[in-house]
Amino acid sequence: MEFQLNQKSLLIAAMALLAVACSKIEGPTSSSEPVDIRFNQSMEWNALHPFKEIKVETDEYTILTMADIHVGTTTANLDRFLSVARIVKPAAVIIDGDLTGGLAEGYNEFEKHFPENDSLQSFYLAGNHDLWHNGWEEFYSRFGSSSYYFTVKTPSGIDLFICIDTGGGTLGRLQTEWLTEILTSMRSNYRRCIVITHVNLFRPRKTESTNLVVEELSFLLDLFARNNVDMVITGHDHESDVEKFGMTTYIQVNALEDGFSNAGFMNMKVKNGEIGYNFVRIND
Amino acid sequence: MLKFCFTTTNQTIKNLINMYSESYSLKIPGAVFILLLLKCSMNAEAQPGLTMYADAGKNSVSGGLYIRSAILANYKSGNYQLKAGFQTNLVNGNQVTFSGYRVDGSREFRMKNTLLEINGFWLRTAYSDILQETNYGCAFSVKTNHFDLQTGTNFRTYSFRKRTLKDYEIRNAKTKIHENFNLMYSFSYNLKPSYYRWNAGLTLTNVDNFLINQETNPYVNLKGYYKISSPLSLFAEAWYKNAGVTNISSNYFGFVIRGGVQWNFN
Repeated sequence: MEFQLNQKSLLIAAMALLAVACSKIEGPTSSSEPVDIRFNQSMEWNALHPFKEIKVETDEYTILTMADIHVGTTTANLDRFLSVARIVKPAAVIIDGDLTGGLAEGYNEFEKHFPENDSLQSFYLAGNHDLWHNGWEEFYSRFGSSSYYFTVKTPSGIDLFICIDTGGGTLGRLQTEWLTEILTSMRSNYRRCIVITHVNLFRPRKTESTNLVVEELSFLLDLFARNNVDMVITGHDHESDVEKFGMTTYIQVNALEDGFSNAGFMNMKVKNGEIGYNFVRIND
Repeated sequence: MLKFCFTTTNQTIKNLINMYSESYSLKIPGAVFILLLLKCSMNAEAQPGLTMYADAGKNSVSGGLYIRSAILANYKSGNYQLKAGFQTNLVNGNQVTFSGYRVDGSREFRMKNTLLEINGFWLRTAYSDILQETNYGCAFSVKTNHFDLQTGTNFRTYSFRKRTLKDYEIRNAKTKIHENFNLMYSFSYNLKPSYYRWNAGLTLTNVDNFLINQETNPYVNLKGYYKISSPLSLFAEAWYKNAGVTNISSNYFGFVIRGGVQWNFN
């Protein structure tokens, strides 16, 4: 048996090395912080900023969710969305990832139109585009954690909203353990439970965007079913979709990106504990 | 076990039909499998084989190291081949002992030095005691001395297991989600032609025996093979699993080390 180190062998070795090193490459192609490090930083931020409880006076409240605005140089749809939100006065606005392309200029532009001290109560999640160009540093310094929860308290019940970071295409081990712990120990204390994350779980259409790997997706479907998660809200795919699986409704929201013909957001209304929703097109 | 698999007495056939049609509600794949088995058994040049392997792996959602084993029996007659197998969870096995079943049928065509193959399959994987995934599909592959290329499509259904609907009081709810025409692919490069005593290669794929990932989540597989004697070969594989590669924001997901033995009884 003889092994000669020829060109083919070198080619294979190079391919293997490239594949394994894929997640180590920094720069525009990847986040400099792997998901477990981002999660640890989110937990550090959470320790200094305890979870928010939003109190509403009636048994009806609204949450607006938008995703994939990809702010670069133009912000027309963002401005339209904010105009609507300021009229609707929702209990909270959720920005479900890909608010920028990862560059500091994009973050600056976003904050110029949606400043931190805005009257709207807002919650942010990092999407895959937000991590490009070392974008996590920009995201973290401006918005803080991307793994956290908040609650909405009404006279008749309290609802739990859990935000998880799937910008890197996976929850990672630490965040998976955290999510499992939250759902198993806290879910029964709340009336409704809604999970929000950036990457969509299913593939209702042909798309080049990446989902969670099948093993992880199956784990989450199982976790959500066992813990009576009412709704899972995602973005990433840019096209809205609704899938019902058992007692859980899985929703993808349209992208809000300028130039996208179906650009829009989701209007969720909770009335006496019943969840209703509709998709609002920003161009109509 | 082997006798059970390859004997085609009337009683055995009845047992097989019962097993597939009653216990597992697999009437169509079961019938196809049995008919192909009958066809192959009529041929005196039939070649049975057996592949057994064990996986040790760890990933973000496995809760530590897991160990699985699998057995795949194949039966080749002329240009036709049947394959059937199952997977078991040995350590850290999400409450399901038998976590996968599959049935394959394929037909080979030879064109000079190139081997072409068409293949149809059915696969069921139980991810937990409440959830399962069913896949069926077809694939086309081209094999040369150094390259194995395969592409195909699969239809995936996520569903609750029947018992779950009762235990979790899931009534009047949708209990299945379908994903149609998913792309499957496998690109392998082997250092040596297949008739060599040993071989090594690298594969980029979204398909394993009991797992089909989305097309946007490829895995890398480094493999080695050594023929100990005429019927018996050993193989080992190392799988590296990444997540989010085509999001251009990738993270490590997990790994699997596989070791096994292949036995061809010709």
